[in-house]
Amino acid sequence: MRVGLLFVALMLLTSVAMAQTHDHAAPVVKHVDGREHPEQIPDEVAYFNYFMGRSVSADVALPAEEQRHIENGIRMLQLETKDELQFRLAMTEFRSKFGHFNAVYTAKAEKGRATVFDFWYGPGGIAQIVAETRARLTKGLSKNGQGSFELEVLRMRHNTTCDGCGGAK
Amino acid sequence: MRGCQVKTRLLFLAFLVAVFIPAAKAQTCTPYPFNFTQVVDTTWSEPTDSNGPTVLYHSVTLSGTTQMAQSCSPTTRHYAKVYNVFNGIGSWFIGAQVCTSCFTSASSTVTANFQQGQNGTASIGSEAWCTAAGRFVSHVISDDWVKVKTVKVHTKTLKTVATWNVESWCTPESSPPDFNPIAVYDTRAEAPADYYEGFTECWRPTSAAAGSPWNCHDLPNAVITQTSQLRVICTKYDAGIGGFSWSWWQYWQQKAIGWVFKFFLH
Repeated sequence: MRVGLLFVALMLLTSVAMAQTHDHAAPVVKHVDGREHPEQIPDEVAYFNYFMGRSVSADVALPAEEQRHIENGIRMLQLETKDELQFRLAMTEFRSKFGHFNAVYTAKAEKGRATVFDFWYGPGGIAQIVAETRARLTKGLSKNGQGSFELEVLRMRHNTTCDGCGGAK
Repeated sequence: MRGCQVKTRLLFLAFLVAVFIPAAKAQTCTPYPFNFTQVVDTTWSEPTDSNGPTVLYHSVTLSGTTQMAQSCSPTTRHYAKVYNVFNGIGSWFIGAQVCTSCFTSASSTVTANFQQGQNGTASIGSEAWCTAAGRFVSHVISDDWVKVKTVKVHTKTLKTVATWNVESWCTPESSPPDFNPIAVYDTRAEAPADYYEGFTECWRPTSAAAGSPWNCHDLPNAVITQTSQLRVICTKYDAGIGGFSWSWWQYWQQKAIGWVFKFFLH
């Protein structure tokens, strides 16, 4: 009888250990290399990455190198003064909206109540924030400024590699 | 006897519970779908003088989200890491650990100085890791190495609004044109700038023999901005635009200026 109980205890302990691991091998996700197929990088992903790379979170002190990198990225747009101001304001607003959304999303995700779909396409999610930022830039920038900005997004699209792009849609 | 049978049944039941329940739980703990992007972003700052180096900023970022089932252990964490080595500088950078369904990101920026005409190399890669299950996203540090190439182009004609046709300052005879853009987009220009300067990323397998051709992005991937400085970048100073030797032309131009000064000073 004791041997039997020991056996059951051992099995239960094993089962607890098994439940705590998880399987990362199962999903087959689409891999897109922007160098070969830039058109397959979804818009919301391309613009999100571009905006993230040209904006700074208000509550994070970036290393000087990264600050200069972001500044160079804005300078390389070669915008007129008025356009540059509009662009910087749009980036500040984007980062603020992203920070707020990500805090709410993280709180839900910690409790297992958020999905990848929520992150990208839920109410107030990334796709919506990106669309609002693009609309603001379309309205606020001159034609030349818009052309310059779109060309930079295209350049970044070429430098993006994506796993599971659009998989949550 | 009957009590023994009950105990045996109980033991069997316990065995089934122990084996099948965790198996079912493990199946629900699969990270699907995930959505991770690796972005390489190069920017640069203009040199302060004609002989000064250009500073290139090379950034690699991996970010994304993973869908996990609620039954995963709450102590399990995910994190991203990126590999960014630019001209021999840099290494792995590891991002913060976050919950399994949270947005995670890691980013590294490395700078390097480049003199005109100098080539560089960059090695990049990125991974996403789970503290319980190990690596689940991998953009391996592949055989594709990146090469940074500098060129000077000069303006020719207006193609469309703010897009200017250009031709390379260096000819195939003076410098092999790995990177040879045919147009630049310059929103500032009502008239084109005298010169443009650009960087692009070229790649070829590390196993390739010396002298093998590079694959280079032209527009839109090249970074091209205007400059008023003409700096010699051709590897052979024999032929410039229209067949003139630039060094020859520059030499006589400087001589002529000297003669004019001498004439007026006397």
